[in-house]
Amino acid sequence: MRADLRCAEARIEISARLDGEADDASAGLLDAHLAVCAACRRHEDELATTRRALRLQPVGAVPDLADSIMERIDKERGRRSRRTEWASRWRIAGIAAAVATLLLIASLPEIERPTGVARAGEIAGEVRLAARSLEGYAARFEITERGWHEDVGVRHFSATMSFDAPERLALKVRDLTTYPGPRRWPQNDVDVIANARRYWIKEPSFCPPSALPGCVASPAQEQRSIVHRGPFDGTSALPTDIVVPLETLASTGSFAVLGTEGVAGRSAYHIALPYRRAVPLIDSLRAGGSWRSFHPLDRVDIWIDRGTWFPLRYSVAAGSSQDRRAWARNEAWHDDAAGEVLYEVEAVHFAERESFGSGLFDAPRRGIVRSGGFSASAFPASTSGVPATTAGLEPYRAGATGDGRRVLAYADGMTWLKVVTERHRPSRPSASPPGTAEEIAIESGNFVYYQPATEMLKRRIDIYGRSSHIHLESNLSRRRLLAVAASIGARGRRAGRVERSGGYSVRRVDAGRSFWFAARAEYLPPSYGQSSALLSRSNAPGRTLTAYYGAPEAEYEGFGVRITQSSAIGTLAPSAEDGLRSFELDGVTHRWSTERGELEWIERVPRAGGAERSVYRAVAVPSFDLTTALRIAEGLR
Amino acid sequence: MEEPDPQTVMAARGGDVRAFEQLVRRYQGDVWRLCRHLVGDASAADDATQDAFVRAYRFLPRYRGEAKFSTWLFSIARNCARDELRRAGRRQRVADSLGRDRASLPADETLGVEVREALIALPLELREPIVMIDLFGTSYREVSALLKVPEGTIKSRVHRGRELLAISLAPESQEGSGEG
Repeated sequence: MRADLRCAEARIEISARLDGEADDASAGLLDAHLAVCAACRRHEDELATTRRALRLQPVGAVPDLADSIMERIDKERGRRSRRTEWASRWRIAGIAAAVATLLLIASLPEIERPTGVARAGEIAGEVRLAARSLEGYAARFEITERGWHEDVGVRHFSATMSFDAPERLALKVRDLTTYPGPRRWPQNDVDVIANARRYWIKEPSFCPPSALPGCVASPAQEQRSIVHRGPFDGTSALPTDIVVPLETLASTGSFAVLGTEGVAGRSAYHIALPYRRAVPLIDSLRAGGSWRSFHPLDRVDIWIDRGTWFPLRYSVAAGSSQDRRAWARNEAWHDDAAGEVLYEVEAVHFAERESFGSGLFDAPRRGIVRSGGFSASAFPASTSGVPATTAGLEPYRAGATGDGRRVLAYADGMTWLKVVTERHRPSRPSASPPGTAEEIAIESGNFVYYQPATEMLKRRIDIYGRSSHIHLESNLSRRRLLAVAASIGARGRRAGRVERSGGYSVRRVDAGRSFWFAARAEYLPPSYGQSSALLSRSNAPGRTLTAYYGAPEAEYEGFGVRITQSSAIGTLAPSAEDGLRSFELDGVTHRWSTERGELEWIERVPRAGGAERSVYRAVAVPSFDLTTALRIAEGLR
Repeated sequence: MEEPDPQTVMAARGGDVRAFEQLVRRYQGDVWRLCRHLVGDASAADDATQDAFVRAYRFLPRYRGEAKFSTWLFSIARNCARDELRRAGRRQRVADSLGRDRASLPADETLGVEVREALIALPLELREPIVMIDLFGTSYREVSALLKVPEGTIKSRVHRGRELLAISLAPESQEGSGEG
C-alpha cells in the first residue's frame, strides 16, 4: 500500500516537473524513487510523449472575427457611432494623445493577425493574380467517382483540358469504366469546345436507348451548338475553375487552410471547404453527361499548387448528419458512408502553354443549333455608359444583342467584365431589381443593386437610370466591381415598391433600422451579411417581413439564409410535406422541414399594456443544417 | 503569453473603442484557440469568442489590474466556452430527439484530429488546465487563479488529464499491458 501511494505522489510530481513546476523540496526524493521504480520511469516517458503531442498541436486556421465582434460592441454601446466616441475622446485626451494613438494603430505589425487568416487572404490574392496572368493551359486528369449506381460501384474517367484565355476551351472526358454486363450502360463521354463566337457540347443523351427501352427514337449521344455567342455567355459558361479556382476561392471567409503538403512531387496548400462553396471547381469536369450529386455540406479537400495555383488534386467526401442521410435517401444514394470519398480528381499532367494546335478550338455546328443573337462591332467612341476604370482589364469585344442592347466586354487572362446597356424612354422603365439584390448607395442619391455569383452567372450590378438600364457582370471581386460601377457616371435610381397587384404590395425596406430582430441576427455563418429585406402587405391585417442574408462574393445551392417574421400568420398551418418534424424548445413548438431547410415557430411577443400577440417566425437555411438554423433562431430571442 | 501595452488597456477601460479593437485583434486568435479546445467545435468557438469580447468590453471598467490582462480575459473566455457548451448540449439534445448525429463538416479538422478528439473526451475540469498549460504555456499559479482552484489541485488534475490522454492516444497494442 505504501509503495503504491508513493508512486501516485511521485507521478504527480513527474507531471509537474515536465512543466518546470515541481516542488523543490521533493526533487531529491523523486529522483531517488525514479532510480528504483521502472514503472514510474515508463510513466514519465508516456507523460512526456503525451505532453509533446499536445504542444505540437498544429494551430490550423483561425478565423478573423474582429469585424463581427466590433459590430456587436457598437450595438452594445447603444448604437452610438464610433465617430461620436472619437469626438469625445478627442476632447478629453487632447490632440497629442490622439495623434499618438493614431501612430500606434498605424504601426501595428501585420504579424498580429492570426496566421490562418493571413494565409487564406494571401492565397485568394495569389489566385486572383494567377487568373490575370494566365495565357494558356493544358492538363490531363484522372477522375474516380463512387456511388453513381448501386450495380456499378466505382467509375473511372480520364479528362483532357486545353484553355486559351479568355474564351477558348476544349474539354474531353472519356469513360474508362468496366460496366457490369449484360445490360448496356450509357457511355459517359463528354466533349466541349468553345471559342469567342461558338460553343458546342456532345454528351450522352438524357434518354439513352441502352438504359431506357422507351427511348428508342433518340440517339445515344446528343449534340448542341450555340452560334453568334455573346461574350462570356452565362448559358454556355466555361468551366475555368479547374484551371485556376478563381470563383471557388473568391472569398477568404469560405475556406480553411490546413497546411502545406507535397502532392505529386510539388508543394501544395491543403484547403478544406464545404461543397456548397466549391461548386465551380467540383462541377468543372462535370460540364455535361450523367454524374452523381453531392450534399451542400459534403466536405471538399483541395490541394492547390503553390507555384502555379492550379489544383493538383481535389475530392468530395460524404457528410454524416441526419439531414444528409435524409437527402441521400431522397436522391437514392443509398450506399454513401459517412466520410467516404465519393469523387476524386487528380492532375496527372499540366503545363502552361502559349500556342495550341490549329483547329483545336474549332467548335462544330451540329445537333440542336441555337443563336445567341450577338453581332460584333467596334468599341464606341463616346464615353456615355462606359466605365472610366475597368480594374486594369483591356477592351476585348464589343457588339449588340438581338434585342438591341449594347455589350462591351473587357478581359485580362481569365478575368473578365461585361457591361450591357439598354436604353429606354424615361416614361417606360424597363426593369426593377430582384428582391434578393442588395441595395448599395455608392454616393448620396446614387443607388446600384448587387448580386453575388451563382452557378451560372458571376457577380452582377444593375444601375437603373432615368433612360437606361446598365447591367454589369464580372468575375472581379465585389469591391472591384463596385469601383467599376461607380466609374460609369450613370446615376442609379432607388427602387421603390417592387410589386403591387391585386391588393398585395411588396416594398424594399431597411430592415436593420425598423426591425430589431433582423439587425440582431448575430449567429449567421462567417462573412454573411444582410443583402435585402422586403415588407409585404395584403388586404388582410398584418404584414410580413422577409430578410435575406448572403455571402458577399458567391452563393451557390440556393439563396443563403432567409429570416421571415409575419404578424399575418397566427398558427403553423398543417403541411403535407415529407420530412417534417416537430419538437418543443422553451415550451414553444418548432417545426423543421428537411426539404426546405426551414425552421418555423409561433412566438408570443409581449405588447404594451401586458397583452401578448402571436408572431410567425422562420429561419430558412437551404444549404446548411438544423444546427445552423437553431443557432440563428437562438440569436433572435 | 505577451501582455498588452498598459496604456491600451487603460484607454479601452476609459471607453476608447479603437483601443479595445486593438485588444480584440491582438487576442482574438488566442481566445478562439482556447474556446476551440474547450468546446471542440469551430463554429461554437466563433460564438464563444464573440461573446467573450462583448462581455470583456462590458466588464472592462471593473478590471483593476489585479490579474494579468490575458488571465482576466481567459477567465471570461472560459466562462463563455462553458455557456456555449451548455447551449450546444441543448441543441444537441434537440437534434438527438430528431434522431440526428453531430453536424457535418467541421471545415478545419484533419490535422491532429486524434489528439483533439482525445482532448475533447476529457472531463471539462481536466481539459481546462491541460489546454491552458500545454497549449498556452500558462503557469500553474495563473491557472489556479483563473479557475479559482488551489495549485495542488491543478497539479493533480494536469497529471490525471495527461494520464487519461496517454491511454487514449496509445497504440492499440499497448492496451492492457498494465504495470510490469
